[in-house]
Amino acid sequence: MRNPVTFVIGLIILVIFGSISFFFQVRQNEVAFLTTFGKASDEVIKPGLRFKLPWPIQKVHRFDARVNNFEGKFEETQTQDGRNLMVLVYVGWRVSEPQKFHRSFPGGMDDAKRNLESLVRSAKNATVGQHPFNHFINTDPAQLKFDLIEKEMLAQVSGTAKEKFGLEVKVLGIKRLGFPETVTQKVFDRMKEERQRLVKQFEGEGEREAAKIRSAADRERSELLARAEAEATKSRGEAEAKAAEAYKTLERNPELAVFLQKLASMEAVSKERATLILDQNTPPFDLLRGTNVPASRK
Amino acid sequence: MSDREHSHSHGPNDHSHGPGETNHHHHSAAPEPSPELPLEDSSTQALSDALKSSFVVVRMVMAGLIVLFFASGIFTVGPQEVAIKLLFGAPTGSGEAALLKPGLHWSFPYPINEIVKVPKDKVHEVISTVGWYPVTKEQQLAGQEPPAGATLNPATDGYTLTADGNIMHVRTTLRFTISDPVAWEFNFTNATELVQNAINNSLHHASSQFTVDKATRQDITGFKEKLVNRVQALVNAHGLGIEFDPRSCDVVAIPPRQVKAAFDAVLEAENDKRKTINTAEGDANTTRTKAQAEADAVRNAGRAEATRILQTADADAKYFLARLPEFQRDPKLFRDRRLTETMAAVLANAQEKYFLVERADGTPRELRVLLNREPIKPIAPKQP
Repeated sequence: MRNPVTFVIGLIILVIFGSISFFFQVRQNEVAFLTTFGKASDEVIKPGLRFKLPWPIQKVHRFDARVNNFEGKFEETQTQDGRNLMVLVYVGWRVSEPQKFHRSFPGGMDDAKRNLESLVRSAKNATVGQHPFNHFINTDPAQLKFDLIEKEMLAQVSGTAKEKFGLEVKVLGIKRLGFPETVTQKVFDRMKEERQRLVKQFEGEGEREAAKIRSAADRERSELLARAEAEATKSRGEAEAKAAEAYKTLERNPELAVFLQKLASMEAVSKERATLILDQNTPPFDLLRGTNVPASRK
Repeated sequence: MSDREHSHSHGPNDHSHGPGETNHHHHSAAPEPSPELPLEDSSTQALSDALKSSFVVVRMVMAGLIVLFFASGIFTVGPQEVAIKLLFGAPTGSGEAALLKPGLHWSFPYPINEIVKVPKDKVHEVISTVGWYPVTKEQQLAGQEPPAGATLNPATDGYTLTADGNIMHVRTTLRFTISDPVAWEFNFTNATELVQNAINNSLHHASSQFTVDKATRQDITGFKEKLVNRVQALVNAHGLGIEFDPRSCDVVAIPPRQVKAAFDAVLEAENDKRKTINTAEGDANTTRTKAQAEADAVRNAGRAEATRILQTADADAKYFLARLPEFQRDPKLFRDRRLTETMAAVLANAQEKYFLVERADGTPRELRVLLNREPIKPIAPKQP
C-alpha cells in the first residue's frame, strides 16, 4: 500500500459506483418496479433502499405515486327526465400498479390523462342519464341522491381504471353543476315571478295576522268586560239581598212606605228636562180650584 | 469506543505522516548534498519535493471536502415549519416521530438523508369562487363589480343550483393548517387544489339541499354548517392531512344580481309584514290594557252601586222609621204636607211648566201635544 490516500479515493469511487449499480432508492412519493432483461417483475417496490442487479441486467421503472388532480369538461348532459344539465367532475387518481400503468401508457402521464378523460366523460353521461333532475337538487334529504350519483360515477371509473390502466381513483366529486346559458334567463324570470308571489303572500299574511291579533284582543276585551259585568251584577244582587232585609222595616206601614217612595220617584223624574202640565187638581194648585168660576160667571 | 474510533481515525494520518517525516529527514539532509551526486538525482529530488507539496495540498483539499461534506448536513427548521427526514427516500419514523421540530439539526447529505420542510403551522388560505361571478383583482380592490348580463355564461360565470331549482352565488374562504405533514407532502401532487375542489364540491352539495331564500336569508347559519361539515367530511375521506376551525371559514351566499331588485322587494314586503304585525300587536296591547281598565271600572261601579243600594236601603228604612210616628198621628196632614213640599221641589226642577185652567163649565179641556225628541230646525232659505 504505497499511497493510502489513493487507496481511500479509489475505495470511495468504488463504493459510489457499486452503490449506483447495485442499489437504488424509491422515494416516499414514488412507486417502482424492476425489469430483468426487459421482463417486468410482479413486485411493487415500496419506498426505501433496495437492491438490484446492475444495468443492463435489471432496470428500475419509477412513477409518481401521489394523487394527481384531474377534471373533465364542463359540458351538457341529459338527465333521465330529459333536462339539460351541465356537470363538471373532478378526479383524484394515483398509480397503484406501475407495471400495468407502464404497459398501458408508454407515452406517460399525458396518455393516461386522455384515457381518463374519456372514462370520466362516459361514466358521467351514463350516471346522469340514470337519474332524474330532482336527484341532483332537492329540499327533501331522502330524495336527494347527490352522494349516490358521485358514488356510482366513482364505481364505474375506478373499476375500469384499476383493471385496465393500473390506476386507483381515490377521489371523484362534482365540481360544478349548472344550466345551459339560455336556461338561466328562464330561471331568472321564474325567480322574479316567485318573488312577486312572495311579496303578495307577505302582504296578505301581514294583514291576516294583524286582523287575527286585533280580533283576539277584542275577544279578550269582551270576555274581560263580561266577567266584570257579571261580578258587578253579583255585587249588586248581593247588595239588594241585604237591602231587602232593611226594607222589611217598611212592612210595618206599607201605605207610608209606598207614599214616600212615590214622592221620591216624582222628585227624581222631574230633574231631567221635565215638562209639567198641571191643572187645578194638582197640589198646590188645587188651592186655585174654583177661583176662576166666579170670574167666568161675571 | 469513541476513543478507539478516534485513535483509529488518526491512524492513517499518523501513518501518512510517516513518509512526510521521512521526506523531512531527507529534506533536512538536502542542505548538505554530496558533491558526488549526479545531476539526475537533483532533478529527482526536485520532482519529489513538488510531489510532496502536491500531496499536502491534496490532503488539505480532501480534509476540507470531508469537513464540507459533513457540514453540509447542518440545517435549521424555521418556527412555523417541521422537517421530515428521509433515509434513502423513506421517512425515519411514523407520526410525530418522523418530524423534526424547529431548531438546528444535522443529517447526512443526500442521497443518504433528504430533508423536506413543511410549513405546518402556517395558515393557508383557499378561496373557492366556482360559485361566484368573475371579478378582476383591480375591480375587487376598487370595490367594483362587473355589470350583470341578462344570462349567466357557463364559461365565465360561476353559480350554484339551489334545492328549489333556482340559482345563487356562493363564495367560500377556508383557512387551514397542516396536521399531517407526511400525507400533505407525499400523498398529493397538489393538495391545495384538492382542498379547493373539496370546497367546490361542498358548495354545490349544500346548495342542492337549501332553497335560495333559506341559504341567502332565512338559514344562513344552517347553510354554512352544512357546507363546512361537508368540507370536513371530504378532507377526512381524502386523507388530506389538514385541520381547520369552522368559525374561520367564511361563506357568502347571495341571489343573482339579475334578480336583486325582486329579492329586495321581498325583503321590503317582509319588513312591511313585520311592521303591520307589530302595529297590530301594539293595538292589541292597547285594547287589552284599556279593557282591563274598563273591566275594573265596571267592577268598581258594581261595588259602588252595591254600596249605594245598601246605604239607600238603610237610609230609607231609617227615614221611614223616623216619619212613621208622624204619619200615624195624622196620615192626611202628613200626606198633604209632604206632597206639597215635594211638588214645590218638582216644580222648581221642571224645565217647562204649563198650567191648564179649568173651564168655567167644569168640562175637561182638550190638550194636543206634539212630542218631538229634538226641536225642529228651521229650514234654511234656498240660495238664489
